[in-house]
Amino acid sequence: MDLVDKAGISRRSVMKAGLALAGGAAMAGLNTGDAMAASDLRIMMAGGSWKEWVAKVFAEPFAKANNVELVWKLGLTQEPIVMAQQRRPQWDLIHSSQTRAGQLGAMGLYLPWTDETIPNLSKIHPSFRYEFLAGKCHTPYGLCVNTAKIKKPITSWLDLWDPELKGRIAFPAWGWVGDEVFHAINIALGGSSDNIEPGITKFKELFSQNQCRIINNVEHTRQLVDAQEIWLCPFFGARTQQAAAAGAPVEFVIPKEGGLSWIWNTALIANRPKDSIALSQKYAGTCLEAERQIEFARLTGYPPTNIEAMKNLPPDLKKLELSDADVDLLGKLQRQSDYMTQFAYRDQYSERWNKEVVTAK
Amino acid sequence: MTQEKGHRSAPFAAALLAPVSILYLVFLIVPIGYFLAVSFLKYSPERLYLPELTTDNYRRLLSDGYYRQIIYDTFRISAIVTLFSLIFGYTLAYFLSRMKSAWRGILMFLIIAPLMTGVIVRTYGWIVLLGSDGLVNRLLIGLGLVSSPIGLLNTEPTVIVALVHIMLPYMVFPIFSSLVSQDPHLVPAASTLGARPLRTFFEVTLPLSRSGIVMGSALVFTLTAGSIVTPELLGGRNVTMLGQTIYQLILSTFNWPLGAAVAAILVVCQFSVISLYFRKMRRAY
Repeated sequence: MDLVDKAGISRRSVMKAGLALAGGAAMAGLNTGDAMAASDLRIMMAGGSWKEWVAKVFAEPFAKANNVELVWKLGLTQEPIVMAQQRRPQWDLIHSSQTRAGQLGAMGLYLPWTDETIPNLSKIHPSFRYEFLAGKCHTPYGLCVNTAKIKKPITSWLDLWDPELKGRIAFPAWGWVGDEVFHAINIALGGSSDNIEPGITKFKELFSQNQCRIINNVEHTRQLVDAQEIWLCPFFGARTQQAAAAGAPVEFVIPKEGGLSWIWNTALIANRPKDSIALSQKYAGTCLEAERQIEFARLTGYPPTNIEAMKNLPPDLKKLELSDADVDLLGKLQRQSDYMTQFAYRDQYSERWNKEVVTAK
Repeated sequence: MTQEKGHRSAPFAAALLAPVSILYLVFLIVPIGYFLAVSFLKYSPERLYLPELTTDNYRRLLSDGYYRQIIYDTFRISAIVTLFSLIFGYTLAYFLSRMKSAWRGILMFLIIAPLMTGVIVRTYGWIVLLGSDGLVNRLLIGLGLVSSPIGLLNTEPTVIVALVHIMLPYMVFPIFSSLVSQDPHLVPAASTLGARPLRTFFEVTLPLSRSGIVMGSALVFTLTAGSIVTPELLGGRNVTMLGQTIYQLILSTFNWPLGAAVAAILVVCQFSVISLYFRKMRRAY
């Protein structure tokens, strides 16, 4: 204090200088924040083996090559965070399927993928290119059949209603992928995204008469499939093949009405700083490269989406090769879905599912 | 002099309490206040919620038989789990508190051990044990009690058994702590005065361990009422509790106002039941 007085500096001027310094530091901090965002790639996705594979094949090599730091936020269903932070998003990318990406993209929460911003986009098969997401892989989805217990051929979703399989069938939880599988089967039954009556009526029978069980996630399904608790259920192709490789007597069937196929990648979250968006788009581009997709396919068992990679699968991955007819059959039901209608009515549809189907006696 | 010393120590006590108070304020009171506020807002499919006040969410919950049943089932299952945890937990804690040997440490470790593995892993363990081809069914068939496997999974009793197993340590340790802190001379004194062991237990040991009973019961009840994984994986479609409903509304349906209203009802009911329990216990002893 004495020193201040001796130097002829008033307390007010010291306060002013202090405030100016603090303000400057705050501004610098803000600027640093922008600069930090450009040097960080902030990714939201579920954890587990899937995250490890994404990190190993795509994210870590990209971070190293571009000298950026990876920041992960792990957990299931992170879309509400994007919705809640829509004015000031804190994350650059969110791992998503084409359905959710389309729904949240239409709300202005995700950026569209274009050839100008992501040049590698043109290398992706048209079936796996959507407005707000292009797949780094796709996940064929159909029926997982226990061939030791079921001797008759399984060809249709309607085989789930076979009374001989009473108590030995399962359906995915609504919050996992059950809603989308339900909508696909509802379409196969003559319904549409704004008319779910055919599906509700038919699924009531499945739960009440055929004692359908609920499977909550991949691990839960694997547990019940491996233990031969359930003999027939909708499941992912690669996971069925993994179960078979581990010794379970199961095979994967694409139902004649059409299976499902989700494409997966990290959607670009809108309203981020320009530097961050440029970095995210660059990362998205690397996820579409042929060599990386082949490496990813080797780890996950899911087929690539890059046309060159699809045509030139190495011998050990030839089993993942899909004909154009297979690709067409997999996406057949989903292409008829109106995702925005499903999204707009998800509260009512979810409640009807819980009240009328799951609790049906 | 003492009063003056008390005055002087008050700022020190406040300083000691400040960090934990701030922690509770920021991570407990503020989030609870937030979801309480959201529970009175209007749901919007596109924006999670709209800034319009409404009581519709509570009306929907309390007037709809489906949600009323879930509320009733949640508290009924929580009460049953608390009761069984108390019976088994007290017996175990009593046994441990009376042990003198080195086995006490080993047994304590065995009780804590399940807490070292995730609840999901333990629940999958139950699926392996109780499946059609699981150990329990094989045993029943081997003993000739049943001719074919019985359906043990996806039932309420299975959920209750698994929850009791998961919650047991939360009951054992508060009771054990209250039992070992009792004056060891009380039981011999009661015996010297002519009380039989059973009377000594009911009139001396049990009343003096009520703080542990209350604490353990409160912990088990609240944790059970909010459980998600165990009822989801072991109860299948036959058991739905409030925790699962909140999870689905917040993370799958994105109906935050209704999810917040369910959470508010859960918190209020838990708080009311525990307050009532505390009061009853205080009156009983």
